Amino acid sequence: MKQKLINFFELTGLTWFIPIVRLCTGDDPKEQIGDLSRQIALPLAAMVSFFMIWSYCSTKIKTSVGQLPGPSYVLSQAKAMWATHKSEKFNKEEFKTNEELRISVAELIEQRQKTTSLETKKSLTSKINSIKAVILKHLSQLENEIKVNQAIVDKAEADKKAQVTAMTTQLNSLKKFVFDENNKAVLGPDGKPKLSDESLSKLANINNRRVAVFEGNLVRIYKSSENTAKSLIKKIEKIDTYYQQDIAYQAALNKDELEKKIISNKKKLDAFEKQIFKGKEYNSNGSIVDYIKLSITTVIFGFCLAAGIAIPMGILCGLSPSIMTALNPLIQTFRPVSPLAWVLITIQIIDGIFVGDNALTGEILKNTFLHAGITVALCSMWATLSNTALGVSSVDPDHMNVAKVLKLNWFDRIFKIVIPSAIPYIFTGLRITLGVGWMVLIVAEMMATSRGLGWFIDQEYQNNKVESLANIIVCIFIIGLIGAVLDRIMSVFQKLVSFNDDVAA
Amino acid sequence: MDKNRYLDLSNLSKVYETKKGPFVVLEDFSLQIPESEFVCLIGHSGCGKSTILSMAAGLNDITKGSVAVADKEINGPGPDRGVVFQAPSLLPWLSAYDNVMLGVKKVYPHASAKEKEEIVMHYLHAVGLGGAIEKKPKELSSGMRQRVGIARAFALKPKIMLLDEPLGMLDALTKYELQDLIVKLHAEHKLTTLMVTHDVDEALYLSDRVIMMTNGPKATLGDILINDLPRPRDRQTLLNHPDYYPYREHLISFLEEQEELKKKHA
Repeated sequence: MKQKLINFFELTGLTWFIPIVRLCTGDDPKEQIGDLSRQIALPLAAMVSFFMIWSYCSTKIKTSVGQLPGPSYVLSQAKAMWATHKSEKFNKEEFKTNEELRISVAELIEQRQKTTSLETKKSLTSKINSIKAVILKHLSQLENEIKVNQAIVDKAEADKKAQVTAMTTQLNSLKKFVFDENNKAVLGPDGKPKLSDESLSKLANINNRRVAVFEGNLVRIYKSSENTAKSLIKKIEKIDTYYQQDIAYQAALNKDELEKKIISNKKKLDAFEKQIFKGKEYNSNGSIVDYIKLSITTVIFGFCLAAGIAIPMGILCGLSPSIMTALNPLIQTFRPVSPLAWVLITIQIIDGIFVGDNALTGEILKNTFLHAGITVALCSMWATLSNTALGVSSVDPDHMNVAKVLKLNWFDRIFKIVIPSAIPYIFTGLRITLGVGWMVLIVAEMMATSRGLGWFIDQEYQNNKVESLANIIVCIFIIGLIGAVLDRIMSVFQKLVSFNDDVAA
Repeated sequence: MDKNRYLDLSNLSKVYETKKGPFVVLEDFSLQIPESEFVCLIGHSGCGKSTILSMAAGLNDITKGSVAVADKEINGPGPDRGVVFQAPSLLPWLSAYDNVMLGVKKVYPHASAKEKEEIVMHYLHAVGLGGAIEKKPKELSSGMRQRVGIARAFALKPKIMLLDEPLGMLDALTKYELQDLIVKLHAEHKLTTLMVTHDVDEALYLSDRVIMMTNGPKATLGDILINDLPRPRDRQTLLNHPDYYPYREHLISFLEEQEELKKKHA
């Protein structure tokens, strides 16, 4: 058990768990604690100094949009992004609730239009009106939620305001002003002494603090949901009015004289009913979690595509020196091409193929899969291709002798000797491919797609604000972490398939 | 079929084309091995003894001459000649069992799965590997690996067995164990065997005949020792046999003579 755990951690590269396992199983504590502190303390120290240097530099570096965000600012921005993601869920739920109510009303109205029996019409009408009660109940819930969350937001904002005021008073009393050469405080346009740069940045720090992001988002979502629900009620009421009017007209004795009124009333009824029938599509840019999911899906798609092309081609190149000679100039030419060049041509080719009737449908296909995925494949397949070719062409001659002695046929030779012995090389290539692919993906998404991490960074860049800069830094960490995890996963596979202990590092 | 020429190597020559012109490794080497005889080839390194073996295996092109097994001239390698290489040459991604099975499947294509399994298990047990059948080569010691190599060769049911210094890379104790194993297997299967070695004691312990090779280039057959030490052999009684030391002396003096010649030429 112990050895199994240790082997597992060694395989996955989580080596700092090993001393913990050894400690728990009663190995010499002194040695293990030493080991542990070395493995944890050193990286920790490096990380802490990194954050300190970053923190220091951020106060010194001015970007075109303002101060470079420091670690704490970036952290708060990350929290805000998380809050946005969470509120996205509520947004979707609210949308769904409202749509479901609309659909149930629409169904009842449709039934009422079709039936001729007066009895049924009557019961349907009362059903339609009873849905109003459901909506009202939902509205009262919303009202409550809005009240609660608004209170939190108001309080947080008031707190912040109080902090700013307190800080301003404090700074004023400390006389942290800008002085001219006569040692007189320089006055601002409002006639008050100007605060020093240092003091202003302290104030800006409080001003930039985001308060109750999540609750604020919720208030906005619930308010919009409230509007939708209210308008639905209004529509139901209008329909009912015109419907009842219609019945009254139909029952009137002087029906012919009222013809004009009947027609106009009917038109209004139809118009409102049509509005009820019209559905809405959920429209949202998604949140950071959606982008991460999409980016990972895309890179895996591109990676599989790359592997699907590169491994068979690599095997062919490795088996036949003629094919290798033939393809080598092409490979050498295309390999160093920048993803930026590939992505543009890919966009145009894909857009050229899928136009008109062939147009792609579905959010994910439309936005990323082909453009970014194919670019990833084009840029990252070369490592796998050359490694596979190398692995296949450098099969141990002893193993080939075995194949000769056994008189294995061509098929068996390839599938029982050549490919298995090339597998460690292939996996080394695949590991590089996935790493390159992940890097390329971000660029490809910037250029080609309208979702995903790369797209998000580009959007933030266009925003031109300090908080966007912080968002980009958050994304950099996310991208780095995901890249590291993907590489770890590949290295585990690499170790699992290697039969010589020294292949994988 | 002539039982006295079960393995017939006649007038074998091997020439490598080099930049400095043709390089003759082996010249005009002939040897006939009767059925079920165990022959050892002995000589200094570079004397072409491994070349002879790999030509007999069909793994090395024959420049001149021919190799015939049971009156049939060979054409390339094949499973009728089992080969054990100096390095075990096991496929590292297959377990011991699968390494042997690879050959068995080829040689017994029509046997049922159960029969094949029995054959594999039989030979793995025969070489003393019953307990390690599912292990990969990297989990086995070098002696164990060579045992798998031997099992793989024997499982092919070859007509002749070619052993290319199979024990050359092993430590002394493992070597003794595997020599005993080879003696046992030869006693059981009576396979015609040609073995390359540079160990005089090994040659005397295993063989019926020891072929001494002159030094290369242009190496050829130098001398033959008929090793009629009684069988079944075991190491201890063999050492006490009155003929043992004279035979050993014979072999060593031949090798020393060759060494002297080499120095003179150099």
